[in-house]
Amino acid sequence: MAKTVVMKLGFFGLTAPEINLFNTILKSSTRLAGEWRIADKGACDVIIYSHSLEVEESGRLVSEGVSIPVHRRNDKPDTLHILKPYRADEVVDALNSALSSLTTKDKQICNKTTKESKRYKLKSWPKKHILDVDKNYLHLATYLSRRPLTHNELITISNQPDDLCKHFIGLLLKEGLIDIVSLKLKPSRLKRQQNTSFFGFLKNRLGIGK
Amino acid sequence: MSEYKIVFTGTVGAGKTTAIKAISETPPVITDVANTDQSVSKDQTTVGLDFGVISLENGDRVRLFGTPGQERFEFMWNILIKDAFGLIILIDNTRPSPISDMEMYLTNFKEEIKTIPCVIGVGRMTDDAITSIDDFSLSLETFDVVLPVIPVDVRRTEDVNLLIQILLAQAEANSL
Repeated sequence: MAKTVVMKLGFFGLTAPEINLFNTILKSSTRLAGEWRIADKGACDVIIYSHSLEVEESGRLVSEGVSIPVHRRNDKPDTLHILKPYRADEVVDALNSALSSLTTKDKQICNKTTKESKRYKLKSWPKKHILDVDKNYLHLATYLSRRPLTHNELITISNQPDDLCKHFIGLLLKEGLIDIVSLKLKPSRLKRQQNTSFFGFLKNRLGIGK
Repeated sequence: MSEYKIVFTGTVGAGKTTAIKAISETPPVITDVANTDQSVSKDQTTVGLDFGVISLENGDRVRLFGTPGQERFEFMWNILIKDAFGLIILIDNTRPSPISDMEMYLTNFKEEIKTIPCVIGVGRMTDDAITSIDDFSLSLETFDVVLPVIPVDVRRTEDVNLLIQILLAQAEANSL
């Protein structure tokens, strides 16, 4: 008898009721291939994430395993996806597709967490005495409050020096204010487009451009 | 040309109209009338909405909307927040229960703040204030959301700019 494949399923940016719904589908489906377990933390084979987290056209979150974005039903995505409002049969189809596209090798890679994949996310807003240490800490905290970022991503997006970011992350770790998220994601293609993007134009208009 | 919407909300007297005035390039459209609320020491209060605009050099526009503060105008808050780029919640720290005020707005906008950039600006934050900035942050934890909370004086353009800058930082992080 063939050994059942156990797949770890992670979620990113979905609400608790949505995750509960997926859990119900996993438990009740008779068509779902393999054995699926929901991973609260750590590495996973498949990540289902909210499409609203990505704005940049090509900035998809891609795990070493398979990542599946959740789109609105009126969207027309051309890659593997799940549509919202959810239909159980579509969810099962998407998970079966993800399973078949994962080779054994892929799965092994996915289960490794490396230093590069370490991302930091604020779990609560820092107290005043921390933010008062450096005026730039407010902005660093803001970036980390929104989504998990690697150390290098924080440096790039904030345009702040390595040492400052390192010190701030260290301080947050010491105070227990930060979560380390070990989702294996491809590095974001970060490009500062200060002068061509809406962000840049508005900053310049308000006189707050860096 | 694109248009973006930033919504200023908060209690009566928190400074929404003043904040919009501080950064709008045109005199804002203001719908203030004589205040009949005895609990608030201000002559005028907003009953419709305030409106200002910032034009960008590429032709884009940022429209600034201030909601009326009274809870009975809640239906307008939900209309204004649709498709907003960001939400600024202004709190008057001299009111009897400023944390309850903040919680009321967070409850009302609980779905929106999961995705829309949002910052909380606490006004009239004196050194001897009973409620500290950290108290506001602590209260946020019950909403399972991490939002920036900063003291502001909305009469100062740089303080209002800082609020906008924080919204931009959140949007930048979202766009990665």
